[in-house]
Amino acid sequence: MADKNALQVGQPAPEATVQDGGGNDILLSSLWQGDQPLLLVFIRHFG
Amino acid sequence: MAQLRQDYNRIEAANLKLVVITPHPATATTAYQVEHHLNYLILSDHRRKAYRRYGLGRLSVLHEINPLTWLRNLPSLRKQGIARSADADMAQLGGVFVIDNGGTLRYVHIAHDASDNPSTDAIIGAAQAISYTGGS
Repeated sequence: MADKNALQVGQPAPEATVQDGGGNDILLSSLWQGDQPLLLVFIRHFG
Repeated sequence: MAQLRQDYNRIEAANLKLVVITPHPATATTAYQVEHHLNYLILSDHRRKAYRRYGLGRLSVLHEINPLTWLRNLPSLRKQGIARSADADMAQLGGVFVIDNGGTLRYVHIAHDASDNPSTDAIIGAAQAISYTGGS
């Protein structure tokens, strides 16, 4: 069943904080400010 | 993840910056990156706040206890071992997003089950559309 609140193309990408391998906080918005489109892939697990 | 590694050259050639978010702890992401010699950024969202913010759900309990679910996960369990998989949340679902440099979503794929993955062609198509319109 489709979630009516699901993100849609054209909406702002949500901001969130994640961590790099050293445990440092990284803002997702810092990743999409370059000169390339960002392909953000959330995986279920390594495999 | 295996599909990403396989298609990375195509993704790079399409001028996409690939960043992978995992539900594993930060230390595990480093170990995985080193072990597999990966050139792209892997970041940790162990508390899954970003997963929730991007609307990524979890498999239902019924789906989780279904033997077919475990059968599908068997290859990664065999590859990683039970101990290493234990810090993964096998019920967490994934998603794929293309975001332009103005912070606008240009492609959205929210997985509805464990095998629901978008094609690399669809992702690259969305990225090419951004360059055609000059981004935002």
